[in-house]
Amino acid sequence: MNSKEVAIIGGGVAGISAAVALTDIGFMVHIIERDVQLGGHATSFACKATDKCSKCLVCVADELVLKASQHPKIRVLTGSEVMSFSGKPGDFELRISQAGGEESLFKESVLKIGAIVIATGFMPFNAEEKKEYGYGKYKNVITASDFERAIRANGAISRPTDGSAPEKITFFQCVGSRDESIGKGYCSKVCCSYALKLSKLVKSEIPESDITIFYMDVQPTGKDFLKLRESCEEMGIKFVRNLPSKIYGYADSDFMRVNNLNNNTGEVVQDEFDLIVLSVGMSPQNDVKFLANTFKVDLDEHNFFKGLKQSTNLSNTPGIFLAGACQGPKDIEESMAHGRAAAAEVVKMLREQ
Amino acid sequence: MKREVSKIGIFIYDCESKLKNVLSISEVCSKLEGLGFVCFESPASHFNEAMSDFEKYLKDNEMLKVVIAGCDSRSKEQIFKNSLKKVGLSPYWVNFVNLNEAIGYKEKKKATEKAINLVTQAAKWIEMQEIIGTQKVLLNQKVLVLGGGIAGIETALTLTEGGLDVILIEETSHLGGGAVAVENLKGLVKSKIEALVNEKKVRVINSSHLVDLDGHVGRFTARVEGEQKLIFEVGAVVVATGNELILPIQELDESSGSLAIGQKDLENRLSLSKDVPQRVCFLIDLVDEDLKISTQVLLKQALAVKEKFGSDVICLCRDLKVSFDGGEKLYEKAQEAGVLFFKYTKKPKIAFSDEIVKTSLINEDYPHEKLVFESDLLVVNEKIMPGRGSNALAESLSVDLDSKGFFQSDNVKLLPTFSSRRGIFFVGGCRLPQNINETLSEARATAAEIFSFLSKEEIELDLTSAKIDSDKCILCLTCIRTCPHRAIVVDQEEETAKVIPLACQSCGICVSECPVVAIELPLYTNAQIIGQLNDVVGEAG
Amino acid sequence: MKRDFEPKITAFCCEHSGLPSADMAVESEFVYPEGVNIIKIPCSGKVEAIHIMRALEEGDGVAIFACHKEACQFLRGNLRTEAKVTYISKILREIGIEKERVQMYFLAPSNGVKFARTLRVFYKNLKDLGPNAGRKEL
Repeated sequence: MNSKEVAIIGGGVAGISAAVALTDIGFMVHIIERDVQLGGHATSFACKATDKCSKCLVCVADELVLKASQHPKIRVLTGSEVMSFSGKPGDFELRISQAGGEESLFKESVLKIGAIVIATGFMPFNAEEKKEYGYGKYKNVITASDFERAIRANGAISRPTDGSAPEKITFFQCVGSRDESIGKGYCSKVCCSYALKLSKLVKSEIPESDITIFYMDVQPTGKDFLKLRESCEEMGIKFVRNLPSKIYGYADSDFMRVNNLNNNTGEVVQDEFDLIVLSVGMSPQNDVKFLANTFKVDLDEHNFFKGLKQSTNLSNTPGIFLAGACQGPKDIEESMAHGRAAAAEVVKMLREQ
Repeated sequence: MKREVSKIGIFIYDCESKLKNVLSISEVCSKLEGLGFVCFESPASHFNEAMSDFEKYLKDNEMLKVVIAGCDSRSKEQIFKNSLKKVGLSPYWVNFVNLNEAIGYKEKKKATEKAINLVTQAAKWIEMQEIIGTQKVLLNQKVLVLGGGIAGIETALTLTEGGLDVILIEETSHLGGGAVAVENLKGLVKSKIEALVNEKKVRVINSSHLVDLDGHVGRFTARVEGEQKLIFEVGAVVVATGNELILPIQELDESSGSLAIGQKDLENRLSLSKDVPQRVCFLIDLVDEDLKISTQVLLKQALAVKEKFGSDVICLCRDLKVSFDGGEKLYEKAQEAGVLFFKYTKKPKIAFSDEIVKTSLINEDYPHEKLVFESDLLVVNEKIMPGRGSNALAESLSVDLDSKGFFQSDNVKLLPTFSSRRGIFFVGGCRLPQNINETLSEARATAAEIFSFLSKEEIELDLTSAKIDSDKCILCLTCIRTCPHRAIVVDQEEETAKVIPLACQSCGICVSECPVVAIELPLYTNAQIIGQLNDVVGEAG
Repeated sequence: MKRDFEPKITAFCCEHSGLPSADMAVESEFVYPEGVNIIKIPCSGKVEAIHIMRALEEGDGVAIFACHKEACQFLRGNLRTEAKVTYISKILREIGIEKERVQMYFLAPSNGVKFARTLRVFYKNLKDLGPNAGRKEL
């Protein structure tokens, strides 16, 4: 019986929140992380503060990751993946393989644990699937993830073609969300929030820049979202309700052309931009089917793990818990709460044992 | 300067010869030895090797205090602290130096000098570090939950699952809160209430409210009034008092009468199976347009009205806020059922006459034309307001409200459910209007957070909290006023301000504000900070 | 003479923002001027007027790196420091020292680039100002 040990699959914000909560309660936690380091997506994102904090929670995620990496009761197994599992709640055996350092040999080991928390997170939507936007073809078309990473790594808001400051910037919302034609008939919840915060950041760093956000509906998250939207409008950021259907590139130019329907006149308007940011949504991880099979856990129609009605932390298999965006799109705040809530569910189950 | 030579060790490790290439480690060492420290050059070439080497070093050498210098970020200090703890040394007697700082210097001589400077500064700091004492603290393992809505109930139930006792105070005469009236939540709420009343570890007190909270985390004293006056000792407090819905009358016409109702009224009608007229117009986002909960209710109700009564249903909104689980699907389902949706930017005009509501707006989508809808009933979303007693409650709890009057001050570090005071939490609609899944998740998350510090009856606390010198204190109350965590109280007997170690978060704000320099922060004393200001290389000659 | 002058800067770094950013800067080789003395503090609110004044006796400029507004780990530490810096600039003016020698900056913990850039600008400004008249003679 190893009910005082828990395995968490995925070392992103949700997994780490669960891990820290569990260790604080007295558990020993093993985090199985596929990547070479802890942190998941959130630690590649940029702080979006302008004159004050924008509540993007990236710094909160950073501190959380740091806390987990220093924690004596959290064992982080980086470069490791699940192979198979057996046993019953309170008494599981999890077989994992871990990349063995320089010789790149894989080392197999078995963890004896009482519960498993799946917290594998999400994948940013692969923007190449939306061929009409020319991601990968036009250099100045980037995804919001690319943009975040660039700002975090070198603080620069620049267009990829020549590294200079962009003049006309646009955000395309709902790329890989609310789009049944590509099997993404769900809202990713986070994109409006990050796009508005990023656009505000760009505008305050480059005041002369011209920014347009193309959208369907503005999806609010967190406290005081209206203030964020109004401050964007006050700064001169334009909101256009309609998603352009295509991006046209020019040879030897930093600019691209976008055709869009004007709702007032019904005419097609042409506009040019030198940086187009695709607000990509959250897609399920690519190995969810393998994990679903291994743990006999159901997926929903969009391939997120299916949480039970009474608690989205519970899967249909007792002893296997869900945390964070692997159960459905969530922002950092919600993922943290969901991770901690998963810890509470683990406590409950192991107490009932 | 007198130094206990053999007691402070300097442990230097390199990182793939990064250091060796730009500065002279041996020179750094000899200089420090000259100053009276014992220097050890680890053969380790990266962090993990250094870690194991360090543990060996600790065993082989009888060091009291250590400076560790390597090419890593200061966050690595905590990991070295863990090793010190393992061998039974005080984790506070270690100081980490990030030698990357010296590597940035262009000349070898200057880089070496900088390294000497950095290590010496760190050694000076740690030399002045005093012993961090410990204190045994008894914790009260009861939790006070304020509010008997779904947020409070779920928090209470989860707390009992972790073995804690709960006292739940509800202002009204019954449990369930706003969710009781929601058609598809009734069953869930009923079963939760049943579980709660049958749970021996929970004491539910209806028709009562908190009037005063004294004390601090682990040891609060709560005065509750209602049918009887009660006093409870608890270790933590959860605020789950929900919010209030107000029909946005000022946005409507006074002549609206019964033609315009709120979403909550409609919910009541639906659950009482009352008839709904033939033409129903839903108009949301007149207020609280940044809350998705109104769209969620809209979609559910529009679909119900359509399916049950076959009414003509028109929905008008600024944005269709489908950012909740299953939102987009619900929207599609409503559209398929024949519910019509139109979006607006400028607020629609509403006119009431002869039992008919006329709503006119400019359609956002093409064709951008004026539309006028006639209906027999207008359903609008209520404005969600902070609970009526929020101000008074915030005052008795000594916590702040946000700019809209909801609980939780505007600070990112408190998200999702923390307050400015240790041991007090905000869950659910009292901090942010939200849907059922989010509320349940927050409730459980908060319970887990409470387990983490209340699962033991007694804890041993490291006294890193601020210390007030009672001889110097003039009781001017500046510290009490400026402490963001309400961790300082007046000790009447001793006539001094006193820090509550468990509530203190060691920020040092009181130290910098105290006009008579009566407060010290043990890990960052004034002497330590001032000692860092002058150039030690000059001093060493 | 002025051209050879190398300003000495004391940088008070909050452990929740400035310090991790400093670490990130040196690790990613975002260059900032030599002669910067980094001092760790648990919150920018811990910096006292006396620390700033003493630092000016020993050097040419003081930079305080704090968390963004509404992101202070301790809620209002950064705001208190902001008020303190305003108050100190008044004192500095009275005693004839340029108030530009004391600056406060708001940062995220992952702002290594901004940390380095800020210090480069500060260094240049101090160089233009020349040696600090209030600095103790060596």
